[in-house]
Amino acid sequence: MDLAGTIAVRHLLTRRRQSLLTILGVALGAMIMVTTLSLTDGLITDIEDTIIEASPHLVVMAEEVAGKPERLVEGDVVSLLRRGKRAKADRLKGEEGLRRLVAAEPGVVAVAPFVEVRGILRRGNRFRPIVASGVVPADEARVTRVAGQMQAGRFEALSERREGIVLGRLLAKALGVGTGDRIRMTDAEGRVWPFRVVGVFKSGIKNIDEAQAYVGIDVARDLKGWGPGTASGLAARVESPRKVAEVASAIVARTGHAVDTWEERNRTIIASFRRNNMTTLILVVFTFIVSGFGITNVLNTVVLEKVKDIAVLKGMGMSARAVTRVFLIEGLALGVVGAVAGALLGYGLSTLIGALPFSYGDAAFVQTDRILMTQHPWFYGLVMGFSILLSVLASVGPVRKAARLIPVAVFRGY
Amino acid sequence: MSLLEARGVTKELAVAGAPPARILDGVSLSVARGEFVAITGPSGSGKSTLLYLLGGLDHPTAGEILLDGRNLAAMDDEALTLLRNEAIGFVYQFHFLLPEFTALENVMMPILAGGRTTRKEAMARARDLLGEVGLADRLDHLPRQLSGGQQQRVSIARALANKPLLLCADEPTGNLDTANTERIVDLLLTLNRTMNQTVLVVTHEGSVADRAGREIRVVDGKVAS
Repeated sequence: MDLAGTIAVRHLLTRRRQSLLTILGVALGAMIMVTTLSLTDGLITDIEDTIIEASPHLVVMAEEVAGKPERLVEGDVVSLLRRGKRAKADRLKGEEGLRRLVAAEPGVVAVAPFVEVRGILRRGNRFRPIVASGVVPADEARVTRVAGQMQAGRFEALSERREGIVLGRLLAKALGVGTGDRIRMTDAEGRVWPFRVVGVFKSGIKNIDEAQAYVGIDVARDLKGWGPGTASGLAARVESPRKVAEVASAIVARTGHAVDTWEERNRTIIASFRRNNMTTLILVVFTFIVSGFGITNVLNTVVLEKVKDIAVLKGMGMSARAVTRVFLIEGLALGVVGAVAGALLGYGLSTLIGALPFSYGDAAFVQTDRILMTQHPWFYGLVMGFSILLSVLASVGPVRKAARLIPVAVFRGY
Repeated sequence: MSLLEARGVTKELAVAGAPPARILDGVSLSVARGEFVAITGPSGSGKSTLLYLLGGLDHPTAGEILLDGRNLAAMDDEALTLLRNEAIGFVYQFHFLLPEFTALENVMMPILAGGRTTRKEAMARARDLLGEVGLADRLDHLPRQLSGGQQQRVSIARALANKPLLLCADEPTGNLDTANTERIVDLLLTLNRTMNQTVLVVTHEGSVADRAGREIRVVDGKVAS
């Protein structure tokens, strides 16, 4: 180590308590930043993943976009999806043909028809408005994860019992029913249909779990008075959910039918979560900046205390550049050691938080039993980079003061 | 030929709301190689200011200062810093040793700051110098573990670390008792005689000035004798 490094280390070691407190300040800042990044990124990932798996990635609707497009580029499609007039239609006829067309589209993994029925479920004196999807259980299991999200009963039972119905967890809870219980549904025309609960699922999304039900597709067609081969739409699963817009555009271009995607459906809620995350991160960055003042404080104190030492060093021929290095090394050492300690603490804390059981309660948008904490190397790169930048910035004032010090002014007191 | 020569050196200091205060007024002097010169004068006469100018720690307002033919007055801060490291050693009234470093490390410091030798060579040189000032058994002591006289001897060893052309001492015994004053003056005289070290000492003590080879008296910013 050169002279500047040796002096810097000796300064820090002789002021051990203050150095440790400063390192602790930076470490706490870094720890909070790593944990917050892990938490906010985990939250948005969790929400997106839950949303993606809770419902079909995209839905090909019965409506057709005005004037079947021949050649489209991406911008045109967005414009059509948002502003284009749609030819109103409440059902697809001969859905098998369209299903084959959609299934052949690159990126589409599975397609399933559904018939949507709105009604009110009643059990005793409890009522709940619902949206029931009439599905082919085996097809639906390939499009959504509902078959794997069953908390009670089996999803496949829908094809075994004609009057079977599968309810969302919160819906079943609100009605006070479980598997085997009888329940009645009143449709839009006021007709009452008897059902028996054959399963309860949990998607993790409150809006779905409290209002979604599944019935067999034939029953749904009967309720609507529709014949075989008709459907409200087609639900599809895609290979890359985060690139669903591209597939949707291609389907619109190929079929002329309007397409709704998970992104479109949840744009507002995801944007709102992202905005909240950004606010949290900004607050954390401010907290971290406060810890930078700790470095400035320590270095200022050292410079003030060491005025005579600095004068002697310059008097014996130590260059202003070398004096600058002494205090920059001190600031950097405090920043880097603090950041490394903070990153390790942050890793530990986010792992601990991720392992603890936790529930936001039934009122939360996303129903979860733990907080998803994500870990990415860039969290640590960002925090380390920020710490180093902060420690350099915090050192600038004291360093300039030390470098500009005129030895004779110290010795002579002017 | 003189080692050090000052020609018409003037030093003025800015005073807020008043005309500049003239501390030195056209001082001219010369010091030969190997001389031991005492700069004396009453308090506030400008003798320490003169020493700092001659030692390259400050810039004169006017005049020239030639050390071994190089004009200090024309040098910028960076060049002066380099020159101080190579050619000038300073001893102050207070030892000004760095408290976190041992006696040996303090003496090594000017050598390491110059960056012209290895750490091992610097250590050997510092060890020799501390031996010469009688502190061979105090190498690893921190300044606070040494007496006032010992601290000042370490600072003399430090001033000699880079074999300077000129050793400047500003009231080196001003903070010591009589016995230690004697030892320090003896040491400076020995260095002057055995190593032909040129020494400039600012002092207000007659006993120190009496032992110097020559006395330059400064009164009211001018050389009086």
